[in-house]
Amino acid sequence: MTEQVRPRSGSGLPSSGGGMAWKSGVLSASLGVVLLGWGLLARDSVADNTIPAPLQPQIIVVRVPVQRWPGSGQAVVASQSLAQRQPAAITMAPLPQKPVFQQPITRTRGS
Amino acid sequence: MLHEHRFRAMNTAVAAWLWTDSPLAGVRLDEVERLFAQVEAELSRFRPQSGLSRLNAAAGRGPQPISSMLHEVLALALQAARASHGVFDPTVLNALQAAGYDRSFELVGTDGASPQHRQKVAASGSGWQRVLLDAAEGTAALPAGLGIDLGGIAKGWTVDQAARHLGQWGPALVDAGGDIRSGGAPGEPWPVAVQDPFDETRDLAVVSLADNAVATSSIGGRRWQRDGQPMHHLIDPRTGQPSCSDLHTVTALAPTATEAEITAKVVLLLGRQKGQRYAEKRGHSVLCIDHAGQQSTAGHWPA
Repeated sequence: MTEQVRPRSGSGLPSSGGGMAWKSGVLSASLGVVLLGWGLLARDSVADNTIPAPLQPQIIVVRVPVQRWPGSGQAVVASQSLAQRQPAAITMAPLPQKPVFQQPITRTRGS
Repeated sequence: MLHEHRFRAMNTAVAAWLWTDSPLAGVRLDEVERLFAQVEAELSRFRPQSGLSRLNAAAGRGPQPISSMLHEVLALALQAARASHGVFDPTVLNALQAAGYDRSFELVGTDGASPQHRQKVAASGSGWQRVLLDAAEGTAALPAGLGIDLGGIAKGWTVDQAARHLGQWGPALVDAGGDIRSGGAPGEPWPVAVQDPFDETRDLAVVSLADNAVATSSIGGRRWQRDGQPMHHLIDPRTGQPSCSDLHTVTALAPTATEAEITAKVVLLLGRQKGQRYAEKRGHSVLCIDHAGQQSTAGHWPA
């Protein structure tokens, strides 16, 4: 025997034409909120892609081994920015051409 | 590394320094010694066969061919005579000989000049304007009785040549009896002391040479006696006698040793007031010391 099941008319709420309109309103409002939110997110995402945050180069000073000329007392220090991602090419300051003499090397006198 | 070479030339002590890692440093320094020997052989008045002695011996006999070296140094000397209005004068040879400096200084005794030299200076005096130098012909002519001494200026000129030569190989310094010139690539300056003329164990100052020169003239160095009177080698051409200015010693800083040598001598002969103006006019710096040891400076003498 076949039992014909009658659709249930709800959960005890009055089944009338005004109830359907209320449900449609809630669904429309929810959908609107979702679409609005999606749109805002999409706009933020576009903004993120078109205006990149400025990149700050990371400056790291590398102190190479100090080089001294005999008796000179002068140090030579070179520095390099790693943000440039260059090979380890170090620019050296000009080296002294000769040592710094602490005492006179000779004397001028009447001859 | 620093290479040093010492030797004697022009009757004075010479030293040369060269800063280089080249294994040829010794060769370069030997070349400096040879340069001094060549200049002395050509420009010394004490070498009978030198070009200068031959020219002096030919005074009064018209134009004589001279070497390019003698021509260059004689031209510089005459130029300095013109610039100093004759206070620097290379034609004081007869006055020097009359004063007793008629042989290499180590041979100068206390007996003074020979009688013929005294007569000679009385007849000729000095006179740079009477020297005829012909660059095109490479000749020089001296009037009869006139003689040339290039002692001081030849020494300064040789120091300049030596410093330039060594400077091709690295920083260099050349010192010939107190005429000192640095050369070569610019770098740390060479400290050079100025000796106290009254106490050789003390220094009065230290100057820094960086492609420039320093020289000192003093009446305290080469002195001797003549007829019981103290004499020295700095002849004042205006009087024909050893200088009697108010200065005892002058040290000059100039671009070249030749210029420093000339300025030191001229300032000493002119005296403090006029001499310092002369130095300042040429952009040279001087340290002047009078007979009491009082010091004064002119130009940009380092404090």
